[in-house]
Amino acid sequence: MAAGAAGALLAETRRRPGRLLLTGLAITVATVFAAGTLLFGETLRSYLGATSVETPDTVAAVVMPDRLPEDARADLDGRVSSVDGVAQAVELRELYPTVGGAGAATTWRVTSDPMTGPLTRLSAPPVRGTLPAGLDEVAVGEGTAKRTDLAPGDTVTLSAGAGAPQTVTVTAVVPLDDGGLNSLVTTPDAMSALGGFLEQVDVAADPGVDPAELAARISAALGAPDAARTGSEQRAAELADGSASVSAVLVGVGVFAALALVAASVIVASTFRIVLTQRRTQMALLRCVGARRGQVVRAVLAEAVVTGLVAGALGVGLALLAGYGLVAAMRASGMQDVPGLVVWWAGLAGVLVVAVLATVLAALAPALAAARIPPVAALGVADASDAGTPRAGRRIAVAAVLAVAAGGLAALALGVARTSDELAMLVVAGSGIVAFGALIVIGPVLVRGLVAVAGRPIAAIGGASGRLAVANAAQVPRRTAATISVLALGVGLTSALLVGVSSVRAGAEQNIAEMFPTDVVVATGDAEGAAALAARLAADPRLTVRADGPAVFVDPAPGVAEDEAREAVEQGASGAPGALVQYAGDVRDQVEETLAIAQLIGFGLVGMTALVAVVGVGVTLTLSVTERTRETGLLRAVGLSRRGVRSMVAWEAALTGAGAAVVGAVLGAVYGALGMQVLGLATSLSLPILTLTGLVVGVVVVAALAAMAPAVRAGRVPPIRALQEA
Amino acid sequence: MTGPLPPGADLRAPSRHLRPAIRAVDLVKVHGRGDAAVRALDGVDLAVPAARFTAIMGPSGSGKSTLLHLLAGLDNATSGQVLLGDTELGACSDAQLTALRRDRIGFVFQAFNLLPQLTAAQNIELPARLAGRRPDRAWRDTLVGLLGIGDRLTHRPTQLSGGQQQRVAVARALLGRPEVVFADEPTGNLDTASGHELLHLLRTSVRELGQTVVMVTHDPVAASFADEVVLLRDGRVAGSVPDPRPDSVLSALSALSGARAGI
Ligand SMILES: Nc1ncnc2c1ncn2[C@@H]1O[C@H](COP(=O)(O)OP(=O)(O)O)[C@@H](O)[C@H]1O
Ligand SMILES: [Mg+2]
Repeated sequence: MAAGAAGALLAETRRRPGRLLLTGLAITVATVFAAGTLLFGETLRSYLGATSVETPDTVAAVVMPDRLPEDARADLDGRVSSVDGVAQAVELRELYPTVGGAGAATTWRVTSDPMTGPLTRLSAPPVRGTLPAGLDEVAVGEGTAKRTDLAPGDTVTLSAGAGAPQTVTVTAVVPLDDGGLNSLVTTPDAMSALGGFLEQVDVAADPGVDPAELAARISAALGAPDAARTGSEQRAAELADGSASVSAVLVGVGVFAALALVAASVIVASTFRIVLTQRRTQMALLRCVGARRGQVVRAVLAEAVVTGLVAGALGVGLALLAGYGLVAAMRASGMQDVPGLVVWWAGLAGVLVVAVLATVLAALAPALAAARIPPVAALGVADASDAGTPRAGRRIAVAAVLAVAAGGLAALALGVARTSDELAMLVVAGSGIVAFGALIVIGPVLVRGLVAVAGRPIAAIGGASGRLAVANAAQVPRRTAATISVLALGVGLTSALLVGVSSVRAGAEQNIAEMFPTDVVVATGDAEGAAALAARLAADPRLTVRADGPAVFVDPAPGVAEDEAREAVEQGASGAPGALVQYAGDVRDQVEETLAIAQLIGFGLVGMTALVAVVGVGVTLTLSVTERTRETGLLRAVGLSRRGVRSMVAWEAALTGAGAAVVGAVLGAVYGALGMQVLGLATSLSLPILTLTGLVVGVVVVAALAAMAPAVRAGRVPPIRALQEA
Repeated sequence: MTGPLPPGADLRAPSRHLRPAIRAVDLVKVHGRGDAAVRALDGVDLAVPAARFTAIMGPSGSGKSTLLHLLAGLDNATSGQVLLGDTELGACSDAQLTALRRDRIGFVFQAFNLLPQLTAAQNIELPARLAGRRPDRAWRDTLVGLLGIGDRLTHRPTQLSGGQQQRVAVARALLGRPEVVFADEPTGNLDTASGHELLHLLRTSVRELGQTVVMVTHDPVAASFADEVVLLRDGRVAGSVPDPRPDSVLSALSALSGARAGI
């Protein structure tokens, strides 16, 4: 008989497949993100697998200096070269200096390379020029040359650590995979002079020498048992490192995908409640003809499984489609080097299982409620779903307990912050989740307050339609609250992000202000050089100049534009080797650029939840509109215009959006501030009031837009529907 | 608009002497199309006199509800005309029809008359609110007193009995002093006592307020509260019963079905 009850419900689902899709839509959206994360991650992993291995195959063994005592790292290449079986040993050094002279002063990467022989990492001869040989010569990577217009013959000034800036000449453009970071290559000798950090020593073997044996021999010669390992071990380690960094990214993104799934579950629980109440009579009829409660529960859960499967499969399918489409589009637009999509089917199956589980969990409470429908309800007229006043007392009590718990966790996070940033952020996140739980519990009670507060202004602006919208929202407090909570989660994440970005920007601004007492700072080798340069610059009437130690501080003279001042400084400093010119404006632009990218990534992450929430608004309203078809017909019959009906639905969405926006913006700002405090950035804590206000307004507008489809649908209800059976 | 009637006027004058509040001219309505087409109304000519209580009766499926929907501007005719005063409904846009239903017509349905999210008072004032007008409070209080729902105004529909809900619906229908009030089986969901009370109220609104009421019913007792009964059969007007009493209505009805059986 269980099959019978389930069969009866599923037959209804087959009759109206659209409703199933609607119920599962939030899950579909969340699944697209989860599956997309997985596809992206695995593809990135395989791609980075290829590129994260930097040690060439010709390297038979490597020496890792960090496994040697610090005083035993001198002349490593010489000592290793003398080991039996070693054909060549080359030190690999790296340096991340500030580089001026080619556009804005930025951080570059400089690596050493033997330039020729088996151990060079250059894949081909120079594209232009000749390979560097002297101590003040460098080669520039091809990508870097393209970005900065550097060509053989140009000079750049490097400044690393406390040493005086050094000016070097570019002699060649070489093919180099630089991953977007401006890169220079120089000889090992030049690199030693620059003070590059010793990363490893690459070793080429004589013909016929076994790498493992060679590594052992080198270790023995250096007096440390594990100082060297084979080239293949090194390459495997590099591969694992690359993969681990992808895993770290995946975990980060996965947290946000999981949040989106939680949001989707709340939506699905709400939609299941609506759909089941609409089928109240049907449920009661099942009970009338002898279905037991357990059978009704199982029947509903069976429907949840089907919904989750269909929605999840749709989401996975869409993610695959998007993945393949994106790769194809990128290749078609001429981007070489785009890796093929890596599909980890077992992982995708896991995503599908999680989608089904989330749906079933979400349906559990509505299923239990459905089983409590008395058989006699089959004879009565169905009440609106979720109608009635919530049990305020109990909800307030539970929410208070949760709020106190969230507060306690927040306090704990502040305490833990001294020991570990990561742990503290984790506790902050936990506190946020508990606060979200409190919001879900208190929601229906809040809706009453919201209606009381917002009811009057909305009625004043929206007239009869606004008044009806407020009444609609108040009639189904649980449903309204569910939509508000999820939307508030999306808004909260966004506003926390905005607070974070704004605070980091303020912090960077403070740093820049400290670093740059004037618009332009020129670092030179010594006080004499600085004084000479200052004298030269001061000759230009466009500049105000002051020398202080080895640095020269320059401001535009009053009334001189920034561009003009820059031109003047460049002219004046051009003949001064070893002078590194830095502009506050450039650094500011660079910070802005970095922040813009970080913000974009952040929006992508919280956007998942926000999109699920907006879909939730649309789906919930669509179901509400379906449920209220007869009411809408009645309104049309007694004189509400088509437009009036449409704006009634839009107003209800706007009300929901307003509630969610205010709650979300406040909670998000609080948690953003908490996060900053925990990360020790509180000194620069900044609340972007204007942006947050914009966010609130934007959310109201987006919510109203999400109501467009259901509003049009409601507007089509003919007045005669008031007289017809549902 | 029908003004208050002079006292002592003969309200029972034959309908043909009165100006019609609403008229149907050769009204045809076909539901569906092709094989599934049903000719629910097949050329109905009808003039409903103002300030009278008219009942429409007929066998099930004879087109009573369809006729009411067309007269009330809830649905469009396939051909023919409906004239409310001088306004031809077929020529009205959706927006005009909406305004017309709101300002010139009142409704009482069999069930589901009220919005569950509004209180009784808000339901009564709904059409006025939709029009952006202040409801006439004095008139509302008069109606509420007449209908005996003064102590129920702050209640929501789910807290009211079926009879109370119908009386709230009547108050809503009468508040705007519409030219015609339409009622489709208004007693269908009520027990006998509440049903009779409601019919008394409708008749009172006609007698004392000069309201025009058109009611569809299949109950001869309900029909006997009307001033005249119009009989429908197979989508056509098949006669009328002036000054109906339950027995006269019943015999007219059986004559109707007898005639039909004889075809
Ligand atoms: N929306 C509709 N679609 C198709 N046929 C309809 C529709 N409404 C009514 N009918 C048909 O029109 C005829 C008249 O219906 P109706 O006006 O409801 O009759 P009554 O109210 O007198 O019972 C019936 O045969 C009915 O089946
Ligand atoms: Mg009917």
